[in-house]
Amino acid sequence: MEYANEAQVAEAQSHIKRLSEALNQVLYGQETLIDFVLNGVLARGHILLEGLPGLGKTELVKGLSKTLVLENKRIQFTPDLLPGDITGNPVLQETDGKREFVFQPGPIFANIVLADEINRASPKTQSALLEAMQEHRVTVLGQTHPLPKPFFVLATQNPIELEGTYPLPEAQLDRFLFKLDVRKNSVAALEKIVNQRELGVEPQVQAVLGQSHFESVIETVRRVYLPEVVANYIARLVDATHAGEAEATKAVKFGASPRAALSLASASKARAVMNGRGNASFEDVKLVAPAVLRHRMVLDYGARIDGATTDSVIEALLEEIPFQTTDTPRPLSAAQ
Amino acid sequence: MESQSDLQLLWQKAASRLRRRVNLAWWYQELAIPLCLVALAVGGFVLLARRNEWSLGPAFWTVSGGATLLAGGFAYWRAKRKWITLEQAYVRLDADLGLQSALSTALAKRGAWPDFSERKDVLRWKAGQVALPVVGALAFLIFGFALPVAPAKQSVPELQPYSWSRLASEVEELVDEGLIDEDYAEDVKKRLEELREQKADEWFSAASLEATDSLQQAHSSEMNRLNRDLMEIQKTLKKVGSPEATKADRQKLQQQFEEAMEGMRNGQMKPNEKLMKQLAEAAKQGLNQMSEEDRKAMQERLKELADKLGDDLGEGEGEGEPGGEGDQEGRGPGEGGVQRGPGTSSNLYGENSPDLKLGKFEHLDGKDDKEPEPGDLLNVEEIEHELDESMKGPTTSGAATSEGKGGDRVWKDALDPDEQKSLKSFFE
Repeated sequence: MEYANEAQVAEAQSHIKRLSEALNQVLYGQETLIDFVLNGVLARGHILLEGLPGLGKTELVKGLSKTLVLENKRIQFTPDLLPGDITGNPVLQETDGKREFVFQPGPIFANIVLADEINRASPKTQSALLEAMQEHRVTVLGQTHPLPKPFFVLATQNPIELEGTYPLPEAQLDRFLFKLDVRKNSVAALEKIVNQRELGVEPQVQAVLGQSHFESVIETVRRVYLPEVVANYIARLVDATHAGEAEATKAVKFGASPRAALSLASASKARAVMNGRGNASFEDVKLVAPAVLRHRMVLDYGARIDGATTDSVIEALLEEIPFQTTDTPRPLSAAQ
Repeated sequence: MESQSDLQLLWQKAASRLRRRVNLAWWYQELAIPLCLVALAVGGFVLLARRNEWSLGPAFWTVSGGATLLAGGFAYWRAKRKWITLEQAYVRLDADLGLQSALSTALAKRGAWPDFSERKDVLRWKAGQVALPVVGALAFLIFGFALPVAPAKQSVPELQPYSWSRLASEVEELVDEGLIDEDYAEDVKKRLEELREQKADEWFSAASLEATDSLQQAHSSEMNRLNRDLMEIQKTLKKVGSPEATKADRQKLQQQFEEAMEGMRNGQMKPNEKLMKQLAEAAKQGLNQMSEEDRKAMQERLKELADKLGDDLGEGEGEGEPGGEGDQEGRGPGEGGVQRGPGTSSNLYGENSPDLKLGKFEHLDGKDDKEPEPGDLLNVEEIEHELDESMKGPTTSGAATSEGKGGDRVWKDALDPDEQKSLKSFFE
């Protein structure tokens, strides 16, 4: 494989920078969240956003689709939503005197799909997304329909009001590249929102990147060099998420899958391009690890009772697993 | 601004330096315990050597040096498994300097070498960890060389059986007084030395003490014999000088003189050489030919020697009157200190009866029933055991097991008639 050169990386970085600036005009005070959303999209992954209502999750997704000049659709997940409502249904049509079923595509046929409050739909409906997210296609009545490229699912869920919701199964969660926590805004960001926004009026967003440019940026990300030692670090990190493999993960019931390792590698490469580098690094892996791993690890009951969270376990794990595979002899210490 | 090749060289040097440092640290870490153990062993040996006053020769220093080298080799073998490669050193530099894996990328020829500035070392020596093994090892060695120890062997002589020193001093005294020949004294000393050459633990063993006793007895026996011979010669000289002695008597006395001389020559203990020559010359000339003065002078000399021998024999052994069985010639019963003969000392129980048959066994014949010997069976008869028949054996529950007859024994049998009478009158 031909690796991305410096010029390609620099060009990709400039595109990403423009995207980021545009999105920061949509959502104030959420720079980190925007960075991670862009990181996830550039890594060709789906993103699960978790946060309280009104923090701008939907606005962010809509803004992203506008800046990228991509088709976006929103699906509001409710308990009575059916799989066909998402994937589409065959409809009986009369053409030239003949009646036949014609597939009517559902809202999933878009470049960016906003699955709002995904945990309110039944597991049957949620599972309609499985094939679409992993294989970028939909099968209805034995007929397979490919989804447009690029295809991203950005789902949101509310951490409160859990009555009448259906927690996403592990298989479904594993298909999301990132799970991002949307935090509340700072006072300064709130002040800026109050001053520059009006209730009921959507912010004006400019198109920044055409589809071809966006795809070239994604191609550059794919061709970022991942050093063997970094790949080894990713492997050790994912392996250590399993119970008994590290001191930090004693309280883990189930660890991360190989898909998590692939996600880490892909997200690290995207982060490297965002930082203007043609190679992924240990630091990139460490930065994206919480977003990649937090929804892929299940803590045991006792640990949850003790107040442990997946984020605290991942933090301890990142401290425990060193970048290098060699130990430091006792007569030496790290220079400050 | 350095070129890429210069940067590569600089980073390579930095990685090599880091690798050497890490590998040396591993070796040093693995050396710490063996080094301290070797120092402990050397220090302990030095302490032992000082205690036992051994000299620390070249062999000691060679072995100590060899052990240290061996410890170094062992540490090398253990540390080698943990040594890092040059590539791993690059990774360490990448990680510790926050180079975003630029070195690993450049090493794989997938990117440019990052700028090299005078960077600090990523790993530093910890003074405490470095000093600890050396200080520990030195402490053990200093303990070995400087700790005050008392020598295990004091210059106090071993305790020897008393008989050895006494016998040696007796023989020495006899030689000094000019009584006996020196050859005999040398022979006795040689035998005593043989006994001393045994292990000190065996000096007081039964075999050693028995050998000592045997030597002592032989010495006493020789002294007795010499004394007897000298007395015999003296008596012979005295009788030869008597005016009543006939010619035949004198010939017989001459013969007795020569026999006594022969006895002295054949004995192990001989009188001193000068006396032997004088006696031999007298025997050669014939006793009749000796002048009265020479004979008396000879008599005096012999008496003097015999008296001295007699005195030496009397010391510690005694010529006691035989009141029991002496275990050897010339040793009286119950006398002579710890080596006294068996039996009681004379006059222990007062004056002996004049009819006492001293020194002989008296057989006691036990055939007479009126005068039995100790241990003789005198009489055999059958007797009946006195049994208490008052008990009737087990009885049923609630029944009296004793009729109170035990009380009868108290007041009827155990009391004397007056007491019985007063007891009866009390109850009446």
